[in-house]
Amino acid sequence: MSVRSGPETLSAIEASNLINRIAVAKDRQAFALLFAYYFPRVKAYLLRVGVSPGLAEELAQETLLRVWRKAESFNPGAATASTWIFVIARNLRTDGLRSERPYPEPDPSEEPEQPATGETIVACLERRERLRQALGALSTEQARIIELFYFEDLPHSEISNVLGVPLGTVKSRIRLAVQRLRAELEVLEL
Amino acid sequence: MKAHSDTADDLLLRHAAGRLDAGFSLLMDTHLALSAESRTLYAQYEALGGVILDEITPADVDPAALNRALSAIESLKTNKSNNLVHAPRLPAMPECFTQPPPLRMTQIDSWRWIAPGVRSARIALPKGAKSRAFLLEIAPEVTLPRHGHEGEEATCVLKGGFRDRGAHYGPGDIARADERIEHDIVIDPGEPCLCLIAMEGRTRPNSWFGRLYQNFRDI
Repeated sequence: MSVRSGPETLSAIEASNLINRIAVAKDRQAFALLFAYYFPRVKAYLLRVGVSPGLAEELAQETLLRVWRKAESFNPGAATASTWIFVIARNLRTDGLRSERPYPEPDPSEEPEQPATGETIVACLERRERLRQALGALSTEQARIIELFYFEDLPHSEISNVLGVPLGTVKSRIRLAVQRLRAELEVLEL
Repeated sequence: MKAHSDTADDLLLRHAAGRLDAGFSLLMDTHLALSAESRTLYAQYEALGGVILDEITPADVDPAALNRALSAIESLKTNKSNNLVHAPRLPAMPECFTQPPPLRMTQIDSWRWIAPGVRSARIALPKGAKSRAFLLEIAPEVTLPRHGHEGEEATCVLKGGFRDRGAHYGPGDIARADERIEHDIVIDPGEPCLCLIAMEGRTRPNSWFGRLYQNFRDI
């Protein structure tokens, strides 16, 4: 039996606190709360990008187990909890599709990472708000193109079918959508 | 402004979305190691994934999933995962060249002669990869004849530089090509140019270089 579960919302600050509780105290209750919110979402993301239901359940499970294992490495000044968890799920999916990755992720320790401070955490939350605004400022078609990138694992030729425009146009529109998104982000940066 | 921006954006977004095949993924990790500007943008594109995760309609899940996770946590304690990374194998590199971290971890074959002043070394990718990746080293002032491609190609300059149709590319920059674009490359004087190339499809054999370039296909 399957049920829809999990809270509707979990603020970025709450999520970050829960991860911190896992990091410092291996807090199982904090894990259960994170699990309730993120597990159905990670699974939904994996289903949207074309992972089979069985594998999506498995990869979502592994994603949350990594949250438990790597909680100490979460830096709320660098990314929100949702971004951090998205990246874990994304990497699991791509590594699952490839039989094995011959090289590890770029090692974050190569870069001097600043420890999270109140200031960097606030800045990170503000960046998230700006992103939502940037997305909102795109035209419907541009937002659709960005969404197709993230969700539908479609080759350009099929994006061309979805949008009903020729292949060459798809490529240039993708570039335009990305440039537009970037421009919006730069405007909001000011 | 450098040529980087207009060409790398959609690759960055696809990389952030986990949409790139192994060869292009390696290329972008290498590019990110070299470009602070792209790292900033990449972080924003990843954050887009976080926003999407918050706004997605949650999937129906098995109610027993949490208990399975909790018991998995118990067994994690004793069963520490141990990822073995093989010692990287590298062909001789130019003097004073430090490989970007993602490349340091790959298996790279020996240099193969391709043409006068041009040599290449294949990089091992996981089975099932639909793209290829290789290093290309080209002597100073060499001109590569025009050639086109059937599929997408991206080049990340690691050392040295070149001109292509009016634009200049230096370390960290990405140059793109696909079926609509023909290269017209001139290597900078002074030092060889070392590039990482990711490629899908085949090179059109419409020139002597194209035929020569076929050598890349199966490496």
